[in-house]
Amino acid sequence: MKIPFYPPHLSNDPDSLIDIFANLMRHCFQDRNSKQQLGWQGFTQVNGTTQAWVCQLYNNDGLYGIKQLPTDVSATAVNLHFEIYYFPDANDDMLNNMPLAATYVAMQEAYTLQIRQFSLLPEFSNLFHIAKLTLHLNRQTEAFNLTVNATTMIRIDASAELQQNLQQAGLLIDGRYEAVYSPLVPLNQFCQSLISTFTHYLQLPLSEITETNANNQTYRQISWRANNNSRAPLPIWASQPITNHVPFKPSLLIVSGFLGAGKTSFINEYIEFQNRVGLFVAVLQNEIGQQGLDQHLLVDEFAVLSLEEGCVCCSITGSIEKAIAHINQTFHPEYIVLECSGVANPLNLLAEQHTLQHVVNIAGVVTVVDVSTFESLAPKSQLMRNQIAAADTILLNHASACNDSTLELVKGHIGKLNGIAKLISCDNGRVHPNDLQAIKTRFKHVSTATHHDERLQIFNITPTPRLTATILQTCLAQLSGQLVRCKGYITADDGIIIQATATQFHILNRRLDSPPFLMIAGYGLDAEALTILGTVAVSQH
Amino acid sequence: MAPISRRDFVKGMATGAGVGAFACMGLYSYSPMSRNQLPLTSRNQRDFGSCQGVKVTCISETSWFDNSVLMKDIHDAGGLLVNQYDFNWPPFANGKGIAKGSYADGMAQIKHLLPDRIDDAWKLIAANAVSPDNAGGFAALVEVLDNDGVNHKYLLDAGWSYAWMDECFQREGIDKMLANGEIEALIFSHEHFDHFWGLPVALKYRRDVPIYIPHGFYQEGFQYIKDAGHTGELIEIKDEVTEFIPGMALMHFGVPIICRTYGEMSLAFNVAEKGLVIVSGCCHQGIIQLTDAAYRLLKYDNDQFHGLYGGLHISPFDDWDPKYDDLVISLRDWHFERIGCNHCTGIMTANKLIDRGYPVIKGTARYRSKNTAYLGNGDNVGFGSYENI
Repeated sequence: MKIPFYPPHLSNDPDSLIDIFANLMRHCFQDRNSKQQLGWQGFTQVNGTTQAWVCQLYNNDGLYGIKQLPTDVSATAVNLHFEIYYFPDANDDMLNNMPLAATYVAMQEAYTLQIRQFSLLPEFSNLFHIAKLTLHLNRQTEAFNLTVNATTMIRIDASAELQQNLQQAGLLIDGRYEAVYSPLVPLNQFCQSLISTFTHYLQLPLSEITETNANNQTYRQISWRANNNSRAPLPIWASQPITNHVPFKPSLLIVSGFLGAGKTSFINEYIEFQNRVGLFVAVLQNEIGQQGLDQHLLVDEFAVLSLEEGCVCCSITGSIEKAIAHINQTFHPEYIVLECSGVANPLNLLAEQHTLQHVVNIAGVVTVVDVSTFESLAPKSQLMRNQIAAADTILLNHASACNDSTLELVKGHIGKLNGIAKLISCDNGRVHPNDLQAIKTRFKHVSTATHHDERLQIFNITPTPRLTATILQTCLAQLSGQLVRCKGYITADDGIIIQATATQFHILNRRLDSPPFLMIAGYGLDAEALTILGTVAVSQH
Repeated sequence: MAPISRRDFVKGMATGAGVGAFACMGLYSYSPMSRNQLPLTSRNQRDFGSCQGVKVTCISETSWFDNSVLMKDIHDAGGLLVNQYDFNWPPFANGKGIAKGSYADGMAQIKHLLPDRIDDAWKLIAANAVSPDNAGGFAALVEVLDNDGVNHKYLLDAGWSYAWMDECFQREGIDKMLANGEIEALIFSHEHFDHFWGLPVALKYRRDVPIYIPHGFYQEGFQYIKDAGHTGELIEIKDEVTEFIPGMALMHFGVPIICRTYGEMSLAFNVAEKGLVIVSGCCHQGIIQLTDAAYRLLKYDNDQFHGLYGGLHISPFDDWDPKYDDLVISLRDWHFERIGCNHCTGIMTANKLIDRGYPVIKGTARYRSKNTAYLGNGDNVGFGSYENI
């Protein structure tokens, strides 16, 4: 028996064959493009058991539970038995006709948590059982057989104790049943992905496929065999799942946010997550200072391309298009993150998004908002309001530093500026990428405002060699006006990276291959007072 | 069909409206999962003795130096399932470019130089290879103090680049430990390029060092051990748990891994009066599976998970559900007392662990390691009697 994802000498080893299902899925999930084409959205092992998994398919919000039962192995064959469960989404109409207890638990907050532990909760999971599978491996003929056994229509009589109550409440179905429902729709979708996955990764042709119905039961037999190419026409439940496969283009995530809101922290999180699952992220940055600092702050040496000058909202799409084409050719990333400088207006970029569509899929706009400074900055900055209006997802960063009433107030204000963005509270930009909302096809109010109309001052400072972090911190604390952002690099103590906002001051000891610089932005700042830090130039930007 | 929406009815019930009608359904009261309630697993714990202490010194954790270069190579070669011996990475290179390499072509050029003239071999092959300067490697020195007071030294993995690993071995004195027989065995966690291909560097200093590999090596892997000039014993570990010396066990996981590799092995130690210490290479089987298996299969002092060192891949599958992304959540149940991460963990994850008060041992970011959040090149972590050394 030849199994492509086992070494040749292991392919007929009973111990390895017991894990063939788990290993098939592992193998599939390492090959992301095929995984997606085969319809799998995600797959997770139930914590504490090696033999149970929860998975999700595309185009279905429900979750499937798969539990492997004790296996019988003989000299000639291996039989693996599985129970299949389907947990509909809490809003799924299917629940309407399922056992009341199933409906009840699906309404509880703990539902998704319980699904992830389903195999440890038999009373819970039995309410959602839909089918049995048997995978039969013939070690002599090298054939694989899958048997699916399901009930076409599940009917559950109301128990004597429930009968009267349900009747009074008008909840009996057909005057008799507690539940009447068919599991075939979710089962068919599951079969589509599963059968296609076997065909794809066993590298054996589907040789036989049958379905019989008797006594309200459906039996499906699917066989894979080498040297047998007589393929029967595939029933719908066995054919390749329908996923929207288009020629590969990377996805472009536009990250915006006012100065110091926490964009770089969020991007770091995002990059690391994607890397961990084998996806590569390239970052496009533009800086308002003359030197780029942010690329030194990203977690690893990723492909970081700085847009040469200017800000995306002014110089815009021509150069972005070129930069993206360059990144695509050089790095082939799955994702490109465009980090707009803190003073860029993403609405302008969105207005010209059609010019980018041949090189990327625009995944959406994420705007990072520092909750602790929102109330004082938002009234001053049209730009900040535009950044919020442009967002598909708004991250309420540093949320735990605020009390609930402040958070509610900020949410209220943001809701007035943008009623359809998804709001996520977080700290340090920690958000799961899958939580981000995809771009909405909608009209966004397109503004031509750029940061030129702001009263925001930006100072580029060449620091004196004597400047230390302590002096800088004291100076910023005493500075009149409203500080929004300070970042830069000073050479004291063998190199310090400075990151500060009105409420925070962070240093990081690190030597950079860059001359020292400081960028300070704010409203009504005292330029005179800044001269003790070094030579001050007002940004031409 | 039911005349009214049963879902709405149940919703109302959940908020208290129709509790009476529902009271008799008491059997459906489900206790919410408690985080402290560990899985109801039947345990079959093997007693493998105990030791006084364990110390892990990171010889090199920089498997490759630039992630973007590696990702690009993998992409250009056709993805994560491509056979690692076909990439045209050194030392299995033939000058034909990405994904057109082969074990035989590479070995034909350098076999006569192995293992004594690895510098020449690496120079020769680098000229034909894809991204030779990106190669680094993973290797660690594992020291175990047994209950008789004898210190045992093992080399866990041998890295990748001959040039880089030779430099690292000399920096940490591994060359001398091998040459004078102090290192008792070379244990390979898995067959991946960055852990296994530096084998000739170890053999340069001791050709007959006993080698332990996990069951599941491909043919090229076996051939490489021969071709690199190994003359000692080769032992394949197949069982879920193999006692190695008292207090030290090898745990085998039969899992397919990216770049066409199969099987990974982790080390487990029972440190007397402290508990279990787990040392892994990358942990491709997933930290959840590793800890679950250790919980089920091993007997250790105080029934306590004491320490952890290595890559902390959460689970090879988890990639979709925002609520459960968090390694931090999964790890909390096990109450580890000392955690040393390597680069596989990811800097952000390591920082998350630190921020949430996990007992993470920080590194020093020397010798091309990039961050203090994990244990880097030249750093070490001790457990038990080695805790404060």
